[in-house]
Amino acid sequence: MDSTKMSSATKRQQQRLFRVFTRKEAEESYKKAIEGLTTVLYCEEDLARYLLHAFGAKTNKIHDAYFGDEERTKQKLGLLTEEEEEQAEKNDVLKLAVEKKEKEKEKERKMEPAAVVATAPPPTRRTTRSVAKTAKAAVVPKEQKEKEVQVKCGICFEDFPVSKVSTASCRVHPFCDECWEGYCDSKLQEGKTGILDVRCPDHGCGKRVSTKKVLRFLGDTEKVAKYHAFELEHFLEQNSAVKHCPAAGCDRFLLLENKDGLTLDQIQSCVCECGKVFCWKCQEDEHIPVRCDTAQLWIAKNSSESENQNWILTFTKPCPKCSRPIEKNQGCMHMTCSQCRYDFCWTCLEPWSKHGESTGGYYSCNAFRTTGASDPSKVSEKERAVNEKKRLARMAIERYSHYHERWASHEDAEKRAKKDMETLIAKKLDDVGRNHGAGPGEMTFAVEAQRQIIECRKLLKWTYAHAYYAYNEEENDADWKRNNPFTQKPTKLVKQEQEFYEYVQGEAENRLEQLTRFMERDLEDFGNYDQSDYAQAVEHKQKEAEGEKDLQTPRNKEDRPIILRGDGLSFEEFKRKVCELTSLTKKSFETLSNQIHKGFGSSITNGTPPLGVKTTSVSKDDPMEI
Amino acid sequence: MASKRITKELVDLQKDPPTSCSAGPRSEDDIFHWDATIIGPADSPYQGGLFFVAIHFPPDYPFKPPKVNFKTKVYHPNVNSHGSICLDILKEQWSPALTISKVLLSICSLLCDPNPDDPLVPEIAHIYKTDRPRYEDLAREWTRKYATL
Repeated sequence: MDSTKMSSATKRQQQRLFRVFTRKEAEESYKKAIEGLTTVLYCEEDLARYLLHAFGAKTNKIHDAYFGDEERTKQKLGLLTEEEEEQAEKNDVLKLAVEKKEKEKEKERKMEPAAVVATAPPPTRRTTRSVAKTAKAAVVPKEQKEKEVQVKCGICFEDFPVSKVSTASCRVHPFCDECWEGYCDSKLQEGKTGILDVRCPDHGCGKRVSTKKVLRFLGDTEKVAKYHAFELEHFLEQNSAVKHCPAAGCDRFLLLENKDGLTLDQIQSCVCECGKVFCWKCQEDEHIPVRCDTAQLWIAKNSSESENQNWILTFTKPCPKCSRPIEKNQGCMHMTCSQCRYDFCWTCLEPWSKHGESTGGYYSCNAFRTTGASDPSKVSEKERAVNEKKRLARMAIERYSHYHERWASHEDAEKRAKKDMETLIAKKLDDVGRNHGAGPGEMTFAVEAQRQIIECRKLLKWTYAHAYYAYNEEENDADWKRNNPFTQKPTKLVKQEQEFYEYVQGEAENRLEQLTRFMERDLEDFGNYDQSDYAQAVEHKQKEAEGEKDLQTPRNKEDRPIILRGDGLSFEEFKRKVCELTSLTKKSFETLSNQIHKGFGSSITNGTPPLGVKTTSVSKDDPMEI
Repeated sequence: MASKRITKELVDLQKDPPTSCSAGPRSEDDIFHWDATIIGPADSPYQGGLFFVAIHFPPDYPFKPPKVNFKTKVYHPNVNSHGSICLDILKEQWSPALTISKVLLSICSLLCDPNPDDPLVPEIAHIYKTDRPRYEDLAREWTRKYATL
């Protein structure tokens, strides 16, 4: 996988691969898809929607399904076939209930009023308690017979006037308005798959609840808007070439228009118009060169509670009296529990009263003793297990913090580099250009260098997450297995391989540090001082280096001291070095990330050095000696 | 809504109790936690056993399924050692039109007819599929050991 191809994606490349479009444009394309289907299939808009929910935007699939076997497709969607429709019309529970009521009334009119009391109990009463799934609706004639017919709701089991209940397309299972609302709400909570395919609440019925009905019972505009958002998202999601920008508040979508010879699997990084750079595959922040699963594992680890627990286990001790975990936050071994005020010794956990001269005791905790007893054989099995657990926990946490510290500091550096880019473009470029007579066209090298720094920081950060998982012990194997039962962990590599990895990583990091130094210090000097001031300072620096004594710090026109932070190179030389370092750094990082994808093991076993890696190391003093 | 519906189910259960099980709230002031008992079905190796079941109703019941767990140890491919039950109507197949009484009846029929193709305890499912008499012996033994008063 050529990840670097994407990592250094220029805007031009980006434009060639992706098209960014807004929600409004997306909505329009959805509307068009519905319209297209209704004309081709000559069907209702609702059916077109259901088909799109079920099949996504793949029109030929929809056509095949619909024209191939319309009945079956309708059944799958929970819709009634024409025949069923006729049947349902006849068996409509609500209609039947009303008719029955009318018949009863008719009967009553003919019979004596006394017979009214003897009206048979509703025949369906028994079935509501049995497992049978037949009609639960029951007409419950009460004393208010003149009023509307009463029907039992299948969810709350209360009786309601017929106008307050309704059914799905099955027309068999009536539910009251309130329960419909609750049901639709719960479906909305289930998310896209729930709310876009609502079926009759009765167990095993499976008939469709129309979109109109769903929207009516969702009621308030916020929920309806959520429904439509789900609908659109679902429509776009079915299309693997469309992704929603994950930036908070950004409502744009990215369409992969041109794969440029890459497979979907190879596309890692993309940039939205809002500036968000994210991984095309997992929509998390870009994590080149590591795989999505490694990145996710690492992020989860960083925020996981278990790390905190490890910390508690490692760096705290329970108060000997009240057992609350205590962190030692000052140097003195004399601890006082903040909760129960118990005084004790941090080292041996014995009461502090045993430790002072005043109490006759003396401080003897410095001498090495096995915990609890001087005789190691007396250390209980349990105690040994606890100690072992602590030791392992401490080791694990030390290892993790080693990698995490570096990961975090490069992340921090990445953020700073981005800020530097802003000031560079806003001010520094002009300053340097003015001071040293370089036009804006001549200064692009600095922007390019800064961009390279940002890219490389990002990449470098992830190489630490990679190393954490790639060169781990059993503990992390288990970690990986737990979280990724189906993917294989990056192959476990031998010590030699780890050394090689660290060498390539170190090389890349070293070049990046040099480039950063030039861009931070030297460039600042060029921005701060004009040509003559600068020359003065360089001369001073040279004299100082030659050992001349009693030198006076040069001063500028405003009588401020001129102090160079950088190496005092000439502007031309500086430019040349930065350009060269930029390309060298880029190359190093390309090697590193290519190598991560190929696996470091392969090049060791083959005995061939990886592409682009020079065998001589970079001299720290002069980056040009390569 | 939830408590009203739960009360209604309780009244119905008391009025017309099913033959093979019983259920009711654990205490009077908390209607959301029930205890139930299931009598081991006659045509199964669980015959003669009395199985205790804990039921917990979520606040959005009946739109969300109740949580139902065996409190008695059961040797069954779809019941694990924590008493969790693998039953579709307690998960994705739940419908708000279902009731606790129906759920308990479904559990009864699950005891009679295990579903070894969707097992919660693969070992038991394997024995069930390959050595039925052994499964029945073990289930009977567990029933005698754990489910007999």
